Amino acid sequence: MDPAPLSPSLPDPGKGLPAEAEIVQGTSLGRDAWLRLRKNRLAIICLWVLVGIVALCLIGALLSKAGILPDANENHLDKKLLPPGSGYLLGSDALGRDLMTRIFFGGLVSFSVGLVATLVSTFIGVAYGAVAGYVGGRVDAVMMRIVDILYAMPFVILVIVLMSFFGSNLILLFLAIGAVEWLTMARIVRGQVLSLKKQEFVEAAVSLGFSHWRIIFRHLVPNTMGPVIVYTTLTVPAVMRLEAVLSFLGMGVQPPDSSWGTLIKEGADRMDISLWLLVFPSAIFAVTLFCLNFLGDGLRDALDPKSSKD
Amino acid sequence: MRFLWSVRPAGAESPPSRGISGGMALLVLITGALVGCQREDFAARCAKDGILLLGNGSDPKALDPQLVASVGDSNIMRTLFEGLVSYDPSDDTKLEPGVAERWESNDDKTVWTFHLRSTARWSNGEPVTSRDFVYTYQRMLEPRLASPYASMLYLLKNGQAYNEEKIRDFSQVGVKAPDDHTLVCTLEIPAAYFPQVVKHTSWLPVHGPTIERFGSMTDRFTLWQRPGNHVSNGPFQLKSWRLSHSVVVAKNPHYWDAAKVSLNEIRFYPYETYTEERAFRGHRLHYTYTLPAELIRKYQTQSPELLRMEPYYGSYFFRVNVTHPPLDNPKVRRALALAIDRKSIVENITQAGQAPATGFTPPSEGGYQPPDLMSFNPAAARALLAEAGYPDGRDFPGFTLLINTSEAHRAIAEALQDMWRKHLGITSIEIGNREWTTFQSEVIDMKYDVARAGWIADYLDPATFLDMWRKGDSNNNTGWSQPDYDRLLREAAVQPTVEGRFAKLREAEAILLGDLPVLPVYWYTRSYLIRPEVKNWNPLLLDNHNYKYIRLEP
Amino acid sequence: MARFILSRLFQSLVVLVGIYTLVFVLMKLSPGSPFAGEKAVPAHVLERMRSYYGLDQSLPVQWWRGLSNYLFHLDGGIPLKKDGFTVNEIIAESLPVSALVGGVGLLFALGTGIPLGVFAAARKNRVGDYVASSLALVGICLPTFVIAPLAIAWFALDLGWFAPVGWDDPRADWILPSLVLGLFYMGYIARITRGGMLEALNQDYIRTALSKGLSEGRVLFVHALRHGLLPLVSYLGPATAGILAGSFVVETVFGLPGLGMHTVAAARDRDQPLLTGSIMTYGVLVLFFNFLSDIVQYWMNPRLRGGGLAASL
Repeated sequence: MDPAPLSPSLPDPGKGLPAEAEIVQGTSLGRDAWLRLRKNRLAIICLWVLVGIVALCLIGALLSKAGILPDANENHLDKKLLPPGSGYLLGSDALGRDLMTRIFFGGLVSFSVGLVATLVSTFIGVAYGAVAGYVGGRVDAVMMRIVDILYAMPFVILVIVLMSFFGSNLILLFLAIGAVEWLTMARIVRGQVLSLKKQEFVEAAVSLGFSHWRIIFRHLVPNTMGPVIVYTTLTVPAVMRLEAVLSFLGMGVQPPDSSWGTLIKEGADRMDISLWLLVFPSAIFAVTLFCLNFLGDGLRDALDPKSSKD
Repeated sequence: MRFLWSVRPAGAESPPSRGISGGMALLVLITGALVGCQREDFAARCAKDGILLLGNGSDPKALDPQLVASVGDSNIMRTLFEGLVSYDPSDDTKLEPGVAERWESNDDKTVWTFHLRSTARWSNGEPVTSRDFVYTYQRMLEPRLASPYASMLYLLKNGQAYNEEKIRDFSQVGVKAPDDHTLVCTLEIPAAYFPQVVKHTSWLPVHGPTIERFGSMTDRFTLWQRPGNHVSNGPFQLKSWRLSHSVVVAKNPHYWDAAKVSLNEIRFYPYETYTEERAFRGHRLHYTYTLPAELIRKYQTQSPELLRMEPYYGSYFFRVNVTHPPLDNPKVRRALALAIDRKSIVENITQAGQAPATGFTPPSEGGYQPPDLMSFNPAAARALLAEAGYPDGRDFPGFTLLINTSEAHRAIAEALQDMWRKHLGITSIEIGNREWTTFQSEVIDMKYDVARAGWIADYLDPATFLDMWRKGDSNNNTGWSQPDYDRLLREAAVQPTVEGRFAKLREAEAILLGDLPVLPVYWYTRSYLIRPEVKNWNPLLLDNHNYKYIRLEP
Repeated sequence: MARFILSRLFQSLVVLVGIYTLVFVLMKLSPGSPFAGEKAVPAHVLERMRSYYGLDQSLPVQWWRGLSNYLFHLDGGIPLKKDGFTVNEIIAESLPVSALVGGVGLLFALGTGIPLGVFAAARKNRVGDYVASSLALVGICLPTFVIAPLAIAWFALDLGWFAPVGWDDPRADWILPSLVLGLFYMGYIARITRGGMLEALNQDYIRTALSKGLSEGRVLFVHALRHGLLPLVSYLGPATAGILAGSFVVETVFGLPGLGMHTVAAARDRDQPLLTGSIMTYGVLVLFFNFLSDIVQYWMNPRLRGGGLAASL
């Protein structure tokens, strides 16, 4: 248990205080942030677009399962590579499958991989980097050299080995991606914490006898949120891209299922003759990433305690 | 410049910084480099100079004929080396004299005598003698060299025994050089097709003194393969070898028939398929190693004169692991085979004019014809599956269809999965996608149910397709064997006439197609792009071109 | 300082042994043999091949033999799948290609990404920000395997400015791949710079500087940039190593003889000596640039200086 006093606020150490107060009073932080986010028109639009895309994929997948939309995996070799409009709204692929339903199903895979793997890697990276930066000294050196070793880890071989032991499944996909994507996050957070821990409010917290965990996760980590959110939104495309690579290596989605990454890869191979196979998956992928990034910016601002003074 | 400008305004509006000056410097560099515009037709210029630019699929593993194994590598080997018998420029079944001017055999085709031409020279000017061949074949069979293709020489008497270290004295192996220009090969079994076999890369000679100068006979890794060190006896000699960049060979002035060699230089590029198609479009290649199926339609409509699709002596099929239920039941295998709509696969997916397989061994004109036993018959397939206890696919336990990562294999596997669902009602088949090496290990260890496979012949004879299904053959990997099958192959080998031999082989193949440890899909074609400047590039069933006859006419 | 560098060097050595061991273990655990082909190789031949390359020895012996060759001779041995070149030769030949393409790409990415990020931060939540951020996102949202063929189709095949593939013309063949590679990193750099700058602009000393009437440009580029680039510097350590060690996709699409291609091919072929060599090379790059990044961070961050270099790093 946290042995620190329950007092919700600290003596005024100058800067950084608002964050302290708000983090401790979680509810008010959430509400304040939401209020601030709502003022950011672009972020709200992006949020709705994202919700819309997810809903579209879900509903589309359900309609396909119910037989209202075409099956995503059923071949119609007599109707292959039809351009958009001719019977298929977004055209058909090389095996005569409906591209639209394949995008819907692929979206579900990509979204779940993108979000879960990103959250996993963010969580590991933030915790690892914060601890290393806060503790410092030898522990920090050892922890960061481990990061260096892992940076050099040949990802392809790691995946091949994991597959040979556990077969190919989605949980593993998250694990493998999480295992490589947290490293840079750890470096960024550590850099921030190194800088923050010299600041007065941390010294104040120490002098108040707060536990180390409490200082790290209640006082330091919230103050690194800006770069963390920015890098998290950048992790999503990296993760989705890795998923495509993994599917290519035989891990992740197995044929005939698809993800956005595999659809874009297929489209890229056929861009000379069937451009729609590249355009539609790429477009929805790009829109999603744009929205995620702008939403991330909005969140960053909303969670930044100082932004209200702007 | 549109693209470059589009990123500039943002930078230009900001006050200068170190970063911007870097960007500016880059722009200046780019503009400077753009002056050297690339619009000229590089391939046309090379054609004028007699330089042939070939896509070759991948980097060579080595430039040593005893160590290479891939099709691309053997293309390079054929420019550098010449065997006893060489390749006819337009017909694979014909024999073209190479280092040997003529050859003859005894009546039962077990002893072959090759008479070497006295004019044959190595690229360093030394004469090519029959002793070089004896040296080469010893090297090839030397256990310590561990040549992957050593088994090609098991046709020689005691070749296998020497390679497996059962005998240690090479003089017991059936190859002798009574004088400098005579080579006598004594075989294990009668083989009327022996001159066809010695065309293969694994029978090409190497220059012993050169090998020994840079290491021992059995060193796999020595500097003899480097430009400058490399000595060969073919129409071309090694000029340069840059990894992942190119292998360049230039005309060999010491070649005995150098007057007939038209090209000055051949460059082999290891570009990946889509890359080489772009290279071809950008006038950087005269010929692509292959063309992806999805681009065939584009060339058929836009520039059919550049596209070629020709029969190729290979078979595309799926191995079935007959030790895994329910695939241990021949009726199930037969049902699966009958439910494959091969015509639809070649017309809609592979699209390069492949022939739907009606047997396992591809037919060759005027040669072996396989029994016509494979067909598409969904009704019969359903009936068989019901007989096997799975009416309409009910309770079928399912299996995994294993493929290695490739767009083409994936499409075929997805089509099979869908056909078996449609025609047999089986919904429990999964596709397992593996990267290449994992895939191979799962097939070799028989940890698969049904796995994709392809087999390209080394030489023009049906035995290369049928021998592998004998009991214990290291390429079998299906768990299937049949004493009658093995017996027929043994009997075929000693038939005195070609017709008699083919009849036995056909009987054997009928057994194979009745029991179906394999699901044949189609017989290969090769599809590639070639520029009109390249002349005398004829369709060949084995695709083994004799480069000395290739010409460039700009 | 000297003591600090020495200690970091020692740590690096330990890390490299760790990397070597990690690759060794992973390769031994991975399925498949480097000598298997589409056509089976007889068992007795396989055995001979294994013994030629020393793969029949016990694992600890193999581990130590390879490691000691690195430690005492800087020698990566001979690859299993390419008989003509040593591992050292392959790396010496391919690393400069990757490093040139990557280095120019990184310069391009920094030269455009940092200004874009700073500009976006200065125009926060206004149209200029959205335009700059969107530009930056292009390279991230479209995968390289889409951008690269498109770039070749336009700039090489249609406009004829560059060769579509290959590594023959030293004046031009690095330009297009560098730009494509740089476009991807530009996005990251711009986004991270923007985030860092926003943090920096919120710092009290910047607010004070602004309120004292110092010009915005001066504040932005002299005071804020120093703090605002901190996250970027953290990111750039490993990113620089990655970009210099070569991109498999870019090298494959452009047909470049770079290290990235060899790394992936070695992994695919289970070519342990070659994979170890290229990963060790990459490891050295990671260590060096992470070290550089740590030093730069220390130098850029006035708050860290009080405790002395060793204590802060």
